[in-house]
Amino acid sequence: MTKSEEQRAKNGPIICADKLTRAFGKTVALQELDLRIEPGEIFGLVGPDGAGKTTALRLMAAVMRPTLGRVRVSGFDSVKQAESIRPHVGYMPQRFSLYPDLNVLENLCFYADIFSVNDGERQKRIEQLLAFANLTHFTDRRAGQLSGGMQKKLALACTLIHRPDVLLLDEPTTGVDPVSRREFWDILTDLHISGTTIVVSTPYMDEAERCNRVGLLFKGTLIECGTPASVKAKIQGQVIELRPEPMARAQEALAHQPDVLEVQVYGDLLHVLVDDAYQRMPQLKAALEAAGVQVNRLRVIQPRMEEAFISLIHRLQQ
Amino acid sequence: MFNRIQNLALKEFIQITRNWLLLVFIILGPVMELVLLARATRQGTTHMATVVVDQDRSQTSRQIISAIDNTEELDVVAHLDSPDQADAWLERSQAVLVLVLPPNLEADLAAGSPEVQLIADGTNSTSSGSALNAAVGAINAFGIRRASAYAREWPTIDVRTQVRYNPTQDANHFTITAQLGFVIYQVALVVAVAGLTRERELGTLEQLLVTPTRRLELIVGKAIPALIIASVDFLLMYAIAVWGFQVPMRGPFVVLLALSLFFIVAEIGLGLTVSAISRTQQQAGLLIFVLALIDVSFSGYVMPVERMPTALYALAQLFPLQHYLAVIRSVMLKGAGLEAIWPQAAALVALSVGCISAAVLSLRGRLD
Repeated sequence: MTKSEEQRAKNGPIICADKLTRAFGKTVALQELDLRIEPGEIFGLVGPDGAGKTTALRLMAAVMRPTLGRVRVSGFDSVKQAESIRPHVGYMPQRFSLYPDLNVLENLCFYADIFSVNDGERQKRIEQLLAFANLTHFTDRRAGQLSGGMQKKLALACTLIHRPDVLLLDEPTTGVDPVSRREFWDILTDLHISGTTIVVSTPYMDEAERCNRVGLLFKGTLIECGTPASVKAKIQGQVIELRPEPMARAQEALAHQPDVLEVQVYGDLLHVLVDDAYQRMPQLKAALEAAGVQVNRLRVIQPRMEEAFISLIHRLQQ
Repeated sequence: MFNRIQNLALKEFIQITRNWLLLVFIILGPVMELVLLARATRQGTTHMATVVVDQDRSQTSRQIISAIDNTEELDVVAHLDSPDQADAWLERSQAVLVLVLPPNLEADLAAGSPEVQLIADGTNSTSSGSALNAAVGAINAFGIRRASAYAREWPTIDVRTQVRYNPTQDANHFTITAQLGFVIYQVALVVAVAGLTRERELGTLEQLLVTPTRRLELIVGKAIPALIIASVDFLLMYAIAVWGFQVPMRGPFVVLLALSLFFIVAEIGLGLTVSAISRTQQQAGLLIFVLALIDVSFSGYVMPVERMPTALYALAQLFPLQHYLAVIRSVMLKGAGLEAIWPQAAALVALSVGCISAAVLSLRGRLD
């Protein structure tokens, strides 16, 4: 049994945050976070810039001390038993934090030695990780000269060298091309299957869909926590998608419509949140055409995390 | 075109004013340097410690001693019984000048031409030259006064001068030995400073914090390469000084080498401490420069440390450079062994431990 399977068997959460608070001077970055993360799950921390995702991860990684409250990782307190947490956690900061002037292999070996990965295991693990990250042919390239996607994969490899139970990843795919993003998530899925707990913060809503559970952070507060399905179900209503021309006039026209709960713009598409889509669809089409808007591709769609999130935030702001 | 130039210049000004440390440095730096240097050059040749071996103990001898003490350049600090005792004072750099008044001085004055001996510590040729001039001048003036008082011919007092450790009064010996100290000092500081601030700027420090690495391990790990580089530099500079510039090496090399290593460690500790508390490399560089300025002022290179007011003198003891320069000069130019320089040696050892500890303690183990 791996460590996290043991944990699951013991039936306790692997990360326990209790009223976890962190302030920087007068700014409160994280406000009384209460969170339980179960062993072996992929948990997504979702939220806009400045929501507190990085702070939350840093507190869990015991790289920062909370102002109030506490967090326990693998049973160890992050302040009093920080040294005991280290072997269990792999942390990947948002910014590239490996040595740009050392090459791929040197970086991996450095972290292997720092974590005292013994010689027998070391060679095997390094080879495994290089293959994992598709970096086997790039061992002597300087880390600073790798592409964005490869840098992230190398950083991930370095956090995995000591086989942690918990992975804390801060926006691991931000700034990475879509192909590399998918490869990265393939790696995460493999890790998930082998039982590693993964906490990943992301501004990408489609990645949120891939998680077992998501936590929506907004201005330091956890406003929603649950499976993606349950979060989406929180939206009361259905979404109509259309491509209007011209866009501005369509938005104006819809703003005056009753029964329209919300209008969101996605490039040249409009997502309109209504209480009952099939009832409202003809009504809206008529209204728009009356305003001189050409309505194309009118259809009902399933609300996605994006809509759910924006809708929840709007509700909060009112 | 001029518009753009103006725009760029304005932006530079805004950036400079946002950087308070740079501002302090620009304004305070030159002021401090000028004031310290100006004061120091003058201070270096006043109130120099003089010891007297009075074997005559007559009224005349006491008058001569008075005349010497009354000069601005010289201060009589002790009366010794024999010239051998005086040797120890010179070796320990506790006196710049020794005045030996032979027995029967007064009697000889009446009879023929008496002889008085002056021995100067030649390691600093400016000081020794100044001291000798002052002493000879004082003695001659005394003679002239006596002659006019008695309204007759006064036999000139024959002054025999001896400049120890540096008979040719080669200014090089002093400056090059000091340079040896400075070069090592600079290398140790620069290598150390770059160390931690670079990690903080790159973000690699954050990654290290999540590993089992302890602060002490990190500091020592950074200190070792700096130590090796500075030591190699020291050996190189030493070779150039001794074989290239003919600076004498009269004392035990092992002592010099060992104490040089302690000095390097102390400076590395200082550099790493600054590095640990700075956010950017620029800030670290500026702080180190200010620190270096203060250090050089307290080092005894421009101004003898003993001349400082007590509070400053106490503070000066915390700076390793001062102790190290004394060690170099004593060991190389005076042939002193560990017995003569043990206070400085102890200070260097204590400072090396202290500075490394300061570095470890000022490194925060969290991203707070």
